Amino acid sequence: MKREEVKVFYFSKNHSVIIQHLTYLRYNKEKKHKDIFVVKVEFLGPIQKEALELDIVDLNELAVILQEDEEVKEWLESCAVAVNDTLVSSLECPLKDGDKISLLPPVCGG
Amino acid sequence: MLSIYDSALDVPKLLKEWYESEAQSNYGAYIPFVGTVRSEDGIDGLSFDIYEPILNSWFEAWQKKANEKGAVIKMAHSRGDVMLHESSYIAAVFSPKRRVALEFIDEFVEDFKASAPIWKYDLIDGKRVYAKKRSTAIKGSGILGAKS
Repeated sequence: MKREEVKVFYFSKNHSVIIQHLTYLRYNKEKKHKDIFVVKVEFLGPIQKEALELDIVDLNELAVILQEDEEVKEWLESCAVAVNDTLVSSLECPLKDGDKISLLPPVCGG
Repeated sequence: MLSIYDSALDVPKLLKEWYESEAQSNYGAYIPFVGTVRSEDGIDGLSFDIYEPILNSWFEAWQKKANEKGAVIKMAHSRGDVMLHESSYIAAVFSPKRRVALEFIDEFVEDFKASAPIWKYDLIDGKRVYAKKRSTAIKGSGILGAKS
């Protein structure tokens, strides 16, 4: 898929403005990602939100999107983040097509 | 060994199975911890969500640490509803000498509480209410939050 198709996809998810902004940022930062990425974002445990499929190249872009999301932004300060089931500690985590990101809210087993 | 059950745990059966599985392994100590759902704050029971991929890797890291000290860890946890006075969690350490097992069960259960990807809900009046106040943010949480 090419970039034009991405905009149509995100328009349907009401994210067109954010995605266009990210696209602008990305083309100014680095010009090597011309095809779209599809990264799945899933929300675990008590976060009542359907999984998202986003075109993002790193977690900084995910932070921008989720901080604008009314359903999920209150969880962000307390959530751990895993990429492909490994916990990560930095937003500077490069993503590739097909990656899975999980948000893990505070836990209490036992 | 890590086992997940879609019901309350059968404590006598699991403790017996674990005992028998290591009876000939020359361990001098077997120290189980059994977690039981208590009656408090008007709850009818607890309910659990589990994210198995990360739970498995977390457990494997602990198992490796235990193995390096000649010990072995076993754990069972429930998913879904567990009612009052039933068990949702059992962990046990086998080791050649008691000191390793006593220390390991303490460290393991504490890290389990702080890190294992399991979410607890109170069952109250037929509703499932996230036990937010009793929950702990996993180490390293908050990277997606707004930067101050």
